[in-house]
Amino acid sequence: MIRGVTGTVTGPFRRALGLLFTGLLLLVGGCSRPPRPVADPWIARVAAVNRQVDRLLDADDASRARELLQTLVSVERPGAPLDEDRRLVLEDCYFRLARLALAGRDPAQALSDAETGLAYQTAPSLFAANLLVARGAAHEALNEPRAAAEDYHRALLMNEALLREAVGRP
Amino acid sequence: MRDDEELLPTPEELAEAEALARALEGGAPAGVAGPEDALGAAALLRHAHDTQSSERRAAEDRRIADGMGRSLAAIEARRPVHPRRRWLAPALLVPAAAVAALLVTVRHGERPGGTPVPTPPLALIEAQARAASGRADLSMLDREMRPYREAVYAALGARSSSGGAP
Repeated sequence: MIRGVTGTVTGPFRRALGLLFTGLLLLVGGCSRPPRPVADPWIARVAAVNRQVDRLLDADDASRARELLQTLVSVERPGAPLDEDRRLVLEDCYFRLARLALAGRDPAQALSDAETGLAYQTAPSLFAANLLVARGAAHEALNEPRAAAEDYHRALLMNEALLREAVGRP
Repeated sequence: MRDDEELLPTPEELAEAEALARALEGGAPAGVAGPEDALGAAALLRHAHDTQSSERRAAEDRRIADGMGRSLAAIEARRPVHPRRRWLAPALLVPAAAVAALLVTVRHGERPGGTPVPTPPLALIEAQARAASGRADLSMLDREMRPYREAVYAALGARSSSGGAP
């Protein structure tokens, strides 16, 4: 009798306490995350700089184009932690830097740029394949055919996967 | 003496009495034929006794069953209720899941996956394959990348506008 009375009286209070505890945890979890911006200004900035780089390359001003990209990935580079989108954008920027270094007859710098870009890779993608092609070209220019062949092979494997995806075949 | 002799049972009467007693007990008369009417009455009495016994057994069974039912109901009513166990599972599992999600998000500080980017066009994929096989330089690949780059950055911007990017 006493147990039954005790159970009916304290049961709702215990449930309420459990729900309150849960709500507090969720509230703390939600508040601990930084507020999400309406848009990522850095990605918008990179898009604008890339358009400017396109115009400079069309005007044969590779030096200025490289300078802009270098500023983008060093001075204006966002701090950690980097999400997947920003990593992808950085991969693309370093591909362009590597490609400009190769055009400027600086394969060592191209190799460094490509490896820096590949360090941001988290999954196979067109951008990662571009970086592998750039690193392979740098190895080739540095007379490292074996390393070049390995990079080209890896790039072609990613390229084949992209091609299958594009044509809708597994 | 004459009266005493008449009071004493004759051997035939004794044999019939013995046969009747056996018939009442359910045994077969041992070679002695009993009185037909008495044996029939004995059979009826035995049948009535058997019927009464089965009814008594059934009544006893019902009484025991009723008693057991009442006892079980009383035991069930006296079984201690554990209200704590009812709310314990959700009250622990839900906060545990929340803590796990909190730890994951705080630890990594980023979304689990990136924005799905547009599928690259076939021309770009072919340009990349040419560059990877040494049949084209990287400036050509970079030029092919321009429209796709615009499309990708637009997709990433759209995702960020919807609250995807941290």
